[in-house]
Amino acid sequence: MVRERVVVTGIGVVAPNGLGAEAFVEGLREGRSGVGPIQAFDCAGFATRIAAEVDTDALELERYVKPLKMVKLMSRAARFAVVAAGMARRNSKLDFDAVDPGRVAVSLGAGGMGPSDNDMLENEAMALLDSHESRAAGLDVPAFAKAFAARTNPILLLRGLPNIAASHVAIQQRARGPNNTVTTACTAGTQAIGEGVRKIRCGDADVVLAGGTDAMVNPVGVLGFSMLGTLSERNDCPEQAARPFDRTRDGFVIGEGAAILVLERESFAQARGADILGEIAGYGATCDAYRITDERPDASGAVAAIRAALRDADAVGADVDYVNAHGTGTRMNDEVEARALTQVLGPSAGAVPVSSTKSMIGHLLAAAGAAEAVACLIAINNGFVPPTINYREPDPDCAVDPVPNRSRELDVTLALSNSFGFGGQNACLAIRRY
Amino acid sequence: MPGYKTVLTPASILAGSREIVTRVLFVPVGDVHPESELIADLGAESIDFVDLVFQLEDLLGEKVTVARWDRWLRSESARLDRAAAVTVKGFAEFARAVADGRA
Repeated sequence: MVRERVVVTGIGVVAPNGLGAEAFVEGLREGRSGVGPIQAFDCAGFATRIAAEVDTDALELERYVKPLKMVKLMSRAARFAVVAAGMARRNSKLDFDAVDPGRVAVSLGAGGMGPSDNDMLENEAMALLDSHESRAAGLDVPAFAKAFAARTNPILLLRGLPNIAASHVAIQQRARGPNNTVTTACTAGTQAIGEGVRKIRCGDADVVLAGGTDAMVNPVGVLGFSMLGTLSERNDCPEQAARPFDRTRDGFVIGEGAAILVLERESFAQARGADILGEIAGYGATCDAYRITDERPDASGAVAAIRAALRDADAVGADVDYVNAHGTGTRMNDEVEARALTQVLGPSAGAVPVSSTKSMIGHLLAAAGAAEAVACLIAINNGFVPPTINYREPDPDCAVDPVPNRSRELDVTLALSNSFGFGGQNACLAIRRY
Repeated sequence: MPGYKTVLTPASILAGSREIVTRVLFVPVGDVHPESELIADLGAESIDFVDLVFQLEDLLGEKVTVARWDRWLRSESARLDRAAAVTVKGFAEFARAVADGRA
């Protein structure tokens, strides 16, 4: 039996350097940074005081959320997801009446580091303060519970559940098929798309809204990654802070946003005369099964994921025209990733453009892989590959062509999008011109 | 809010209840009339009732729960079940009952 191909017919993006696919295309073409001083909260005293934040005033929630009261049940990440899904659906021109809702699935990378929206954090912290005097040492749980219940609107708790963003997408998009949330940290967006592809291949759905969303620019998110030593501390030059593959890189910049693709069974898309933007031709995922935050130094876990994606796409390393790297800008990631690509791409590795869009939009965490899959589709459809901005000093340990600082005109037929995450997660998508 | 209760009147409770309904259900204030049904006319769902009673605390100065609303409705035998049909006026009447110590 010939396997059904899975094609992309719509793109929706909420990115720190552009809302909507068109703005994102121009942001990537111009190498526009979305990084700046943190606006979401008072970060005085934080080691890292920069992030890539979304312009929420421009989200147009009233256009994408019906009834509008649903907004109060949405975390920041859920709002991004709903807007990105609405944009993607419009872009696909897929009519609600043209598809059985039971055949529309959702596969979403989400969940970041849990329910730490600013308003939830405030409730927890103030409740702790209220209950503090009652016991000198240790948490007085009954006092905390009383104080928390006294000040917390119960509906707030619903926002923190990891699956709720995907539920909101389903409600707004009448998607009554399987609804899955992938919570594999920084690989979640990539895996959600890959698992969405499999939903179509195995016959569970004709259409999948697949992608990722995250919003960790809050005190717990910034502190957490900062304390783990993964964040850039170049607070004095936010736009130049994210420097993937550069010798002077000092960590990633936290970003936020969402990206959603409309995936369709090829024959379904053809039957309705859809514009096809590309094919998700291959997906591979592995786990290092090694350490929680260290990657295997021989890059074998990453190599296995990339090779699995190529095999799934019936392609080989020499077919690859462009790689959208995970490229966080941490010392370890970029070195191990460059090593993996050298192994997979073979002798031509140095000639293949390998850029990190995180240099512009920061690390979107559970949404990163989805935004980066979009970057690959943009490369395929617009004839250019996005740059790695802030690249000044080559690192001999990162032997790749990072497309320094300026986008480059290039005809791309096959692109790879890599994602690696805490816990040893490795995932890769092979995206092909259709 | 200490002392807040002393200024509560039937009219101020009805006005406050309307304001809460408007805010919680994201509906235009012009659509919120005393006889408007929260579910049928204004689109309320179960989670909104949790939100509505939470917001009553600011108006009444004391904690209110959905369970308390249900108990009060059951005690008023002539009334319908909360989930079936409650109007803005009915919500305000519950708020008044809380304020007067009847619920």
